[in-house]
Amino acid sequence: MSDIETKIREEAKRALESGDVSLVIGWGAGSVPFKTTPIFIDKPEDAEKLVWNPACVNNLAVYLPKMASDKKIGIVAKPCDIRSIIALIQEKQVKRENLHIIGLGCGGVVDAGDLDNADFHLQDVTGLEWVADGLNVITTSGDHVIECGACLRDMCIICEKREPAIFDAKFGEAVEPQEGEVCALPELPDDRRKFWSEQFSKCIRCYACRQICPNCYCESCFADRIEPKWTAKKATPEESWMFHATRAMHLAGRCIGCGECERVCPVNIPIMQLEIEMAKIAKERYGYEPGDPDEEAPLLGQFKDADHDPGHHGG
Amino acid sequence: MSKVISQDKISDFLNSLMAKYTVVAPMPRHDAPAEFRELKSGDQPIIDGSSPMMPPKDFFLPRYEVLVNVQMGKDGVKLDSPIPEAKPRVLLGAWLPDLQGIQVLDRVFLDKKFTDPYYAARRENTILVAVMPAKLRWSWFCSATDDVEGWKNSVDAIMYDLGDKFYIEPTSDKGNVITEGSFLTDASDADSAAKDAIWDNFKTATKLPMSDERLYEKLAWENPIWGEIAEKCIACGICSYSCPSCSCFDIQDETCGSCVERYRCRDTCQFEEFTLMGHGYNPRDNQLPRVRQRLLHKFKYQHEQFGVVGCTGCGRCVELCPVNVDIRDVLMRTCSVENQETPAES
Repeated sequence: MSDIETKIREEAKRALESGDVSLVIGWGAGSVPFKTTPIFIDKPEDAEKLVWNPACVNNLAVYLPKMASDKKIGIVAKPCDIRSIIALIQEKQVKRENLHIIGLGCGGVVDAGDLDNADFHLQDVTGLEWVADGLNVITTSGDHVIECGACLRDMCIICEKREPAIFDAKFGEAVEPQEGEVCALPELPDDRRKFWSEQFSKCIRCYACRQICPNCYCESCFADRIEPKWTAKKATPEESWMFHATRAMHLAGRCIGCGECERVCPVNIPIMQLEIEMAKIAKERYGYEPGDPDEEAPLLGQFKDADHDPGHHGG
Repeated sequence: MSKVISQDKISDFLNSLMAKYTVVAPMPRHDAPAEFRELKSGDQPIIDGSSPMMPPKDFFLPRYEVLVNVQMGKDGVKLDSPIPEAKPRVLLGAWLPDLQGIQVLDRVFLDKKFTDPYYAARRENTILVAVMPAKLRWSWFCSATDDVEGWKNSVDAIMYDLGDKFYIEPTSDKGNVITEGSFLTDASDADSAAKDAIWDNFKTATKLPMSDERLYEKLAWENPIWGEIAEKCIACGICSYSCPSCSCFDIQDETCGSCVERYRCRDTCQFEEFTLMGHGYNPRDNQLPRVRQRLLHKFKYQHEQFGVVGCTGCGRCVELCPVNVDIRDVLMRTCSVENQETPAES
């Protein structure tokens, strides 16, 4: 058990015992040793069930709008998860005073289901741990070390913010970024159109990308509306293109880049590439980064005289 | 009669089948699970079952299918129901639990009182060939859901991956057609023994450490597990859409000027809109009844209604669930030995 894991448990136990919070959301052991699962702790003695390991992928902020609406709760959060929390606070979906944030320094996490390779069988895995030169996959047939660049999620490889921006308790230190290959988009517009057309034709419209996203909290999503029908439910390439393009626009200047949508996609659509492009535009034109604690309002909820205005300034 | 075919003869095997049938098999995709497609000449499908793949149900119940076209013109209104052509097909490379899943679809769509003509046209004339991979997927739990011995009758043939060759075992008369051809040779005793070992491993390794009692006897409407799952469930459609036997659909109408298209597309009991009534009332208004519905439907209602269990243990929902809801936990916890009453001493 890691030192940080012990501290998370102690802090959760203390917060529950003192009555500071009535619930703590964190990660618990998964059904298999290479996964974790969200758990909701309401008894101090159950704080022992909390874990912190390389498979703590879920951004638990997705549960906050419902669970923290009327009571103060604790949440164990990585730096990206905390940026989601900040975005939710700015968009008035959750109150800061209703949260006790147990923040963690981070070096990235792995979607361990993707680790199935020729060296070992996933059913033989008994644990995962970080070691000096990468991820150590402990199996019944011995240890297998995988370089970070080959096992971290894409968003973890390119992540630049590895320290919690806000917190009530903080454990662990950030780990320096690692080199690794990430999805690259074609350069030319026609090639990009072809690329996305192929990607969206894979979509089965399970809406896992939307459901896992902390920022997709709309009570009624445009994609579910029948009258007016913005996009049809049928999983054709055109309709799926409409769904993903509209969702990307709705998250423009709001997506904090946790990459959960991409992780959960059952057909591996590189959804984050759309959001990365949006974030780039928001930063270049408005100097705005979603999830920044110094901003009081979301990008589209504020106006400054110096804002980029193509119409007014002639382009 | 059982035959073997060596790996280097597979292209001959595919070509000879393609001369007579439309062959459907999993095609690899860049960075995504393989997808069942109609093979074109020169295609190299994954027929050894080694790769993750979406289930083949799209070939019987497409993700999207037009049921009725309505065209309004000067001569009045024309209606057209585009029933697909029942062309002879061979489905290759599907896992046995996937094809057992089609047994469930059959009972929904080929009901004697009402046969779905769209499904029936696709289902008729399709020869189902299952593959038994050399390496079982970690998430399979087939033997925990049913006695898999009976599943052999749900397919027309089974291909066992023996490494350098496949052992082809027809399990119906229809299945004999895939054992024709000079590139196939008679199976030796050693081949038969190797095949039996794969089958025995499948039967035993996909069991779960739980009592032999079936879930349909144990699963209750009131069960604390529903609340536990519902708390973390994010209400996406991955479990249903990746399931080889989930069959629920939506029917929608779309207008385009002077025409109307009535189509059927996937839907799932996990979505809020699934049970939302026109007047605004929703009998399943939170995630708990939705989660309960999916599992009771699979393990209890379908067994009561059809005599088959709606889950075949293919493990896709186990692997893909974004929040690690593991259906195997439901089985094990509900049927755990500790949960059962101690038998009275005799």
